[in-house]
Amino acid sequence: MSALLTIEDLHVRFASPDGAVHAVRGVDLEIRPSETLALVGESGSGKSATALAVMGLLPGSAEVTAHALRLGDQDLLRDGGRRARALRGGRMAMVFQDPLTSLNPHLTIGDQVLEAVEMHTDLSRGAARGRVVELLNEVGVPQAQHRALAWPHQLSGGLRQRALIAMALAGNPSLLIADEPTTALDVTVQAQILELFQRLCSDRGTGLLLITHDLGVVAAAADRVAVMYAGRVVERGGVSELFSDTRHPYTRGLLASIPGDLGDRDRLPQIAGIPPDPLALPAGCPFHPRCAEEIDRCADEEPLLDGRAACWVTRETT
Amino acid sequence: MTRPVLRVKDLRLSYPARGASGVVHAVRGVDIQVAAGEVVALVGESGCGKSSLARAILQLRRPDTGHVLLEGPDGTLPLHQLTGGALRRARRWIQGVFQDPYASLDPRMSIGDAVAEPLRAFGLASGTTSRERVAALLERVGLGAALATRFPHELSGGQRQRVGIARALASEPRVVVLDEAVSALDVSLRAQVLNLLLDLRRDLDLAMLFITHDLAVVRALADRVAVMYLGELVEIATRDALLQTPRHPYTRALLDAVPVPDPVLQAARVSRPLGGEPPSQERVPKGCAFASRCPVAEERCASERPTMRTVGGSAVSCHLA
Repeated sequence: MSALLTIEDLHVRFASPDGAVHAVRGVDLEIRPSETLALVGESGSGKSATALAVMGLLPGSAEVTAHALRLGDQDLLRDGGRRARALRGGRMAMVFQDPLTSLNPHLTIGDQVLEAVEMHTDLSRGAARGRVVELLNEVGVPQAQHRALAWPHQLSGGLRQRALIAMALAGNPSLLIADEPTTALDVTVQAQILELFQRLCSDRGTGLLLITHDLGVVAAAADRVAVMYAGRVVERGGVSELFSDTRHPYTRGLLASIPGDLGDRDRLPQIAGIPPDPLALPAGCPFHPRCAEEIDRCADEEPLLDGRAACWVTRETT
Repeated sequence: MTRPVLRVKDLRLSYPARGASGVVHAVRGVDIQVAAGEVVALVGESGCGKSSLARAILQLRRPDTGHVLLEGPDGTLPLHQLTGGALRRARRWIQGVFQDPYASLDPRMSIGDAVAEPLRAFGLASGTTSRERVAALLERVGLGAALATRFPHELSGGQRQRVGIARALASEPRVVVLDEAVSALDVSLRAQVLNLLLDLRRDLDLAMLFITHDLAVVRALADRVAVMYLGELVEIATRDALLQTPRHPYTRALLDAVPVPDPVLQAARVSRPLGGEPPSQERVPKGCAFASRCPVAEERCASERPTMRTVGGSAVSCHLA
């Protein structure tokens, strides 16, 4: 099946008072219809900047370049990014982490979904109102007709996130980008929302770019995974191979630092140090100062993604 | 077990509902104890009252009724009764660490001054002694004494959370209440802060009440776990008993909802996510608070309120356990 979203050699640069930040440094990704790609990384790894570049939501001061950035056959960078803006909310839509700050406190849930429906369809007022209730039903808002009249502050976090997903679905998107959509939610509600995403992918054929730092969420929801560190994808693969045959030391470190049964140990394995300052990336592999498996070459030359991982150690031992 | 340093008895806290005449029953009769060197994790969904319980224990909000007893060096301190200077002095022995380290630090105060503040407030050290103590505390939490001259905005989230911990430890408390203290941290930083807390428990014999919604953290840190639902504890057990043999249907549902970082195990799961949402704290059900969402509820669960009893070493509040 042909790709829904194609990203080739994406770069994002920001100007900052302390110098230029190269936040995304040559990312390649692809999502097919019905597929969930998890983009994993810690704060500052470039995962959100990648998503915002696709959506055309980066501020004007950001410089976005790519060999290719396409939704289906539409070039998202054409006309200085105006193409992305035209498709935003319609063929591609985004859901953010914090449902309360993404909703307008002065409008009822129903009116906010209605706005989205009217923006992306030609339905009459009456038909659009019917569509609002359908959408709220589809995302599992109980008593949708009644809840449409509620204000954002009257709803729980889980229901607010459902309302936002309903808005995102209003334009019948083929690509949905969800940035930490369950991070602010309880585990029980998280399980409900992940199930909802899975249903949307299989029923509607929606492709999902799921941005998360939670590897449990990845295992539960993703088909494929890309792990980002310091602006690059350092490991990618199908979800089962990524967990069972992990190739990059950073991914191994992330997996190990999930609190699990401690057994006889009295400490958790941890990755030493902190993520690099994007203004002063170390020479060579950006992970090498924190890496336990470092070899000479790592400090001198940055490894590029070759097959599944961007790592000199992996390359020499496999 | 050694004598508990913190004993909470039948603690109740309510407050007026926003924009209405009702009352929100946030904490509805909680009994919990923490011994020296013990980490008790308190878990539950948002809105279950776990942060209200933390605030009531720390006397940041005065409980309606109930006892909060702290073993001080000169005998038992009834925190719920203390006021003014007596309460301020008692606070030396019980400290809190909160979720957002940025919000709990004064942006205009250097890191050194922030950590020194409790030393000055409790009259424990000043001048050179204070500076030496601050340096030692910063080293203790793995930050390095050089950070003392920096300001909160110059630090990463993980560093700020360590500053919050250093500040809480400054007065050498016996009890620390941590409310979602690692929730805002990235995975690699979270592991570092959890390891720090494990070291502190071992070295300082601290009693910790660790409030979290993250069950993965419970695995790493807790000796015992208390599960809270709609203002009440529904199960208290040792970590292994709770994780291996959860007795309350709500505990089982919580554990089932946690995604395991293993696609094979994850795919093999058959359980359905817990549906619905907790009832309103303004209209607490007559029977078991969990009955409306419980997959195994019977008729009497809706009418008869269960009480805590011991089942196979765990304390559980369920008719069917």
